[in-house]
Amino acid sequence: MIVDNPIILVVDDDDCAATLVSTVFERAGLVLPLQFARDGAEAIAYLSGEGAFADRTQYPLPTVILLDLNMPRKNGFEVLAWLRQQPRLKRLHVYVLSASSQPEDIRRCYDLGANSYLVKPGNLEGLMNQANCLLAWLRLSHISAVA
Amino acid sequence: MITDALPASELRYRRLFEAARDGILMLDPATRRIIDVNPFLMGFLGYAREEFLGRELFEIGLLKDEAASQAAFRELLTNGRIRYDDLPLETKDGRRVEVEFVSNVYQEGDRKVIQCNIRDITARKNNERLLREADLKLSLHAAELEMLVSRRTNELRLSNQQLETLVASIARDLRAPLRSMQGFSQLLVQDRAAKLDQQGREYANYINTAAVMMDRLLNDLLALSQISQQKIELVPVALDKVVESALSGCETAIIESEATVDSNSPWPAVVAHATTLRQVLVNLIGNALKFVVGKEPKVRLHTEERPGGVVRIWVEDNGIGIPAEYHERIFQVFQRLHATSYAGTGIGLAIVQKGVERMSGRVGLTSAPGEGSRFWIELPKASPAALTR
Repeated sequence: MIVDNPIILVVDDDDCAATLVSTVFERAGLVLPLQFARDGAEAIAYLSGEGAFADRTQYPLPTVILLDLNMPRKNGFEVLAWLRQQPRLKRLHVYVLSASSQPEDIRRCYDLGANSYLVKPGNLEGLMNQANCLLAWLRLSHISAVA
Repeated sequence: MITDALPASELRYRRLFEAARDGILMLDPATRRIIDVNPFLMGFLGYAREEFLGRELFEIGLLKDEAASQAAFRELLTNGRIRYDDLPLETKDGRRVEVEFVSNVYQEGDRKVIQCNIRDITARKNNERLLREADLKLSLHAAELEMLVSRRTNELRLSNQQLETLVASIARDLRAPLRSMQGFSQLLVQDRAAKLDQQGREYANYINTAAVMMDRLLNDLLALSQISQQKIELVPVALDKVVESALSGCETAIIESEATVDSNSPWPAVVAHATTLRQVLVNLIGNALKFVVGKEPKVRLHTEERPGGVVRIWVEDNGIGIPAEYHERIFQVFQRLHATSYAGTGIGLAIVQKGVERMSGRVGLTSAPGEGSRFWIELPKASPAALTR
C-alpha cells in the first residue's frame, strides 16, 4: 500500500539532533508529527508496545524508522538485529541516519538488514534535501503493513 | 753436572737444556722411559728429578694410559715426530695446566733418542677462553639490547595505534553534535533572520563558520587516521589516471580560485597505493591553490625520473612561498604558518607525509618567500608492462 502520510519514528539519544530532524521534516511538509525514542532500548519498547507505548493511538507503529547508531543502553546495530528477529516487524523499513561515514559502519548496517544508510549532512541545505527526498520516496514506495 | 770434560757443543746444549723456559724430556726409544728432564719441567709439574727418571710418559700424566703411550710411540717411530697442540695435564699438586707437546726422534751417534718439548700454554688458553667468554657475553648483550629495542618499538607502535584509533573515534563522536550546531545556526539565519538584528545575524553566521571549520578539521583528522591505519598494498599504478582523478577531485577549488593547472608531462607507472596517492596529490594541489595572494594561482604538475629507478612527482605553485626554516615543520599536524587569512586545518601536509611514508616514498620541497613552492614526492618506478597484468 502507498502511504501518503508516513509515520516516522526517530531514534536518537541527542535531543538537539532529534529536534533538528523534526524541524527539517516540518519544513519539508510532513503532516503527521514525528515519534521519538531516546535510545535503542526505548525504541524496542516502543515497537513492542511495552508499558505506556501500548497505547497505539498515541504511539502508532511507524511506517519507517530513522535510526541513529551511537546510542546508550542499546545502539543502532542492536536495534537492527533485534528487529530482523521479530516476525511481525521484520519488514519494517529502517533508514540509518548517522554522522558516521565509516565504510565498516555502513557495511554492518546493511548486513543487519537496514533498508538505507543516510549520512547526516553538515548544512541545512543538505538536511532539507534529504528530508524532501525521503518524503517523496516514501510517498512512492509500497509499504507492507505491519502489526 | 756441567764439567770441563764436556765438548763445547755439548756444553752449549746443556746450558740451553738447563736454562730453557720450556720443559724438555729425553726418552729412551727402546724402553719409552725418561732418561733426562730439565729444571723448568720439574718446577712446572712439581716432580723431583728422581720422580721423572725411569718413568713412562703416562705415569706422569702426559698421556692418558699405557695404550695411548704405545700408540704415540708407534706414531713417533713411523713419522719421526708427534705434536699435540693442546694437551691437558695435571701437576703433582693437582693444578690443571695445558701444554703444547712436540716430540722428535734424533740420531745421537749410534743410538736414537727422543726429545719432548713441553710448552706451558695455560695462560694463552685462559686468555683465549676469557676472550671467547667476553665475546659470548657481548653478543648476548647485543641480542638482549636488540630485543629490548624491538619490544620498545612494538610498544610505541601499539600506543601510537591506540592513539590514532582514539583520535578517529573522538573525531567521529564530535561530528554528531556538530551537525546540530550547523543545522540550527543555519535555521537561525534562514528562518529567524527577520527577528534578529544585524549583529544577531552576524553572531549566527560566526557559529556557522566555526562549525564548518570544525567539520573540516574532523574530516581531515579522520582522513589522517584512515591513511595511517588502512591496509596498503603497493602495486604498479598508472600515474596519469591517478593525476586525472586527483585533479577532478580538486575541480571545485580550481574553478573557484580561477587557477590554471598545467599537467602536461609524461606520466610513468609507479609502485604505489592508488587511493593513498590520489589523496596525497589532492592535498598537494589543494595546498598549491590555497596560498596565493593577489593573482590567479598557477599550478604545474610534472614528473622527473631520478637515478635508482625513482620517479619524482612535482607539484609547483606561484604562491607566497615558505621560508626554509619551516620546511620540516609544515609536515607536522596542526603546524600552520598563516592565520585565518588562508583556510586550512594544518593537517593536509601531515596527511601527505603519512601517505608517502606508508608507500615507502619520500616527500620534500624547495621554496622561498615570494617565489612559490615546489613540492615533490618520490616513488619507485614500475615497469609499464606490469600495469597490463
